[in-house]
Amino acid sequence: MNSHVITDSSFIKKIQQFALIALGVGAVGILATAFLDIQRFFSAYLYGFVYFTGISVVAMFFATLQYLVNAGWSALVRRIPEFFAGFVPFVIIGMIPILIDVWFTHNLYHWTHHEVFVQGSAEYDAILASKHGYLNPTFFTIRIVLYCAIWFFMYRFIIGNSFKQDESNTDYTPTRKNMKRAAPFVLLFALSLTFAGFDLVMSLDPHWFSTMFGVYFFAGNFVTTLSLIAIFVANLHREGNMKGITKEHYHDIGKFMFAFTIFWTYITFSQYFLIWYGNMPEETLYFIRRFQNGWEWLGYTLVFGHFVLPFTVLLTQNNKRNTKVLIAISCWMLLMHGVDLAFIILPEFSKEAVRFSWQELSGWLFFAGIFFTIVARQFSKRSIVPVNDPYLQESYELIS
Amino acid sequence: METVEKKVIAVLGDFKNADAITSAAKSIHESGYTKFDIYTPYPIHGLDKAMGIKKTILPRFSLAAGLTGLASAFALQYWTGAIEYKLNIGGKPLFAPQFGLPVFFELTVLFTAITTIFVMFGYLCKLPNWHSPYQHDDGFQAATDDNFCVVLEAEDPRFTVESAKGLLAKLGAANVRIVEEQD
Repeated sequence: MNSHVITDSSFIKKIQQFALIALGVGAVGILATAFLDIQRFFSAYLYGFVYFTGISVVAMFFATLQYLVNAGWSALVRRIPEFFAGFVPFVIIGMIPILIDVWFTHNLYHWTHHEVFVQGSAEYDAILASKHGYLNPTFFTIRIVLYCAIWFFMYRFIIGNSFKQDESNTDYTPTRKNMKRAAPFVLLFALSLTFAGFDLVMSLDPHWFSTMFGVYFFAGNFVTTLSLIAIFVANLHREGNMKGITKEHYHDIGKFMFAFTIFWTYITFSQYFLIWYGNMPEETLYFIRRFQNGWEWLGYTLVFGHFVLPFTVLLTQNNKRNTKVLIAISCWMLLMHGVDLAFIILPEFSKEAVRFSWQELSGWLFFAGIFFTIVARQFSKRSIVPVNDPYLQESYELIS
Repeated sequence: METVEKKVIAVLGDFKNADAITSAAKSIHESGYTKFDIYTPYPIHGLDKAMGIKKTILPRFSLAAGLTGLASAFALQYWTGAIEYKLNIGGKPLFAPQFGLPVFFELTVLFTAITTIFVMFGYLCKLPNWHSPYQHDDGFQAATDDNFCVVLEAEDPRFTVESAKGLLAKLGAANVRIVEEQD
């Protein structure tokens, strides 16, 4: 143990308290939902699960990325995403209810009903039958296990090596190993996250498909992860628990957020634009469902809340370097990601009207509780500064 | 023949390294000089701050140009498509923000980029300017190789040859010299 473990932080205490309350309220809410409406339970569960799975695996990717490009600026803040990645082992447990539903209860995914593939049955669906080779419970399970294996292995390897480097300031083998293996891991990660997006979210509407969906899913998660990093860094720095952080670090995080806000918009619009122009019935169905019965307001909210507002705010240098503005816009982006996922996931379960109530919220709170409990535990166990990272000095001296 | 005394346009001094010239820049700025410049073989982080250079006004031009680009893209598509020459193409609306958006984006970027480049080089950097008044000075030429050179310009209100020379000597500059107007 060394002296850089945060022992006294009111921010972490607040996070812990929030996590406890969220976990309690969320667990009660989601259990009540399970008794009242089992399908709604699964949709709320998926909503919360995808939100925090996205953050944690993308945080792990962010740490890997720093090794891949030999980034010097980020050494001081890298521990924050590494702590977020602590949720990754839990992702494996969280997948179990989804697999149970795929095999037995059939609430989430329409294609899990075997009848749709049986020729001559009343439920027979020729389009789905042609996708049977991909959309079937066995292959789905194999894929999910594969994603979990990739993520878990990546977590143990990259994050594990990063922590191992703390123990020695003469032997840089852990960092070297990470740099060497970062590229194949990023490749595997790109494939696994893309297909996880396809499987977990896109196959909710099995008739619809978009090859851009994976990168859309990634872009939204990346902005959210950066926002959460910004919130943690700014709050810990303000109370004096992250020494060495300067305006330059905020500026770099802000630039990243700005860039990926635009990236999200670019991807989202491109997906929509091609479908709008092509005007093919099997593709437009997805948007038609989301452009009526009140769901369209979520879409309009995203245009302004997920693009116009953060774009305008993050455009100027002064705003990116201002802690208060950065925290405010980061919190807003966390909310907008919630709207984004609601727009993607929830219309499949409630086509007639917008449905977002305590059920969905408790799904989110439940996973928020688990996520922040795990993250807070990481803070009490690990050094906040990667003390022997070879790039640490460069990060201290950063001028962006 | 009468020899006309040539006008002194600047006092130059050389420094050995980046740290020395950064602290010299700070002292010159603090002593109140405004018209001075520094030439180095490579960009030095923090030098602009030490010299007290104000933030550039370039982004304002870029923003104005970007908004102009956005407005003209809208006007162009709306006027041609929905007012002046109405064509029904594949049953699409005569104007819709959906298909307008790529052009909004393109023209915004185009206007911003061109304006930024031209304002920066043509107005703020005063190009095209094919010569520098100091270009025959050996130390100034060496700034493209291994020399760190300070130039105190005569345009500065507090400039006199003696005070400028004195200041540079006090800061430890080597080879303090004057540069005269060229014919």
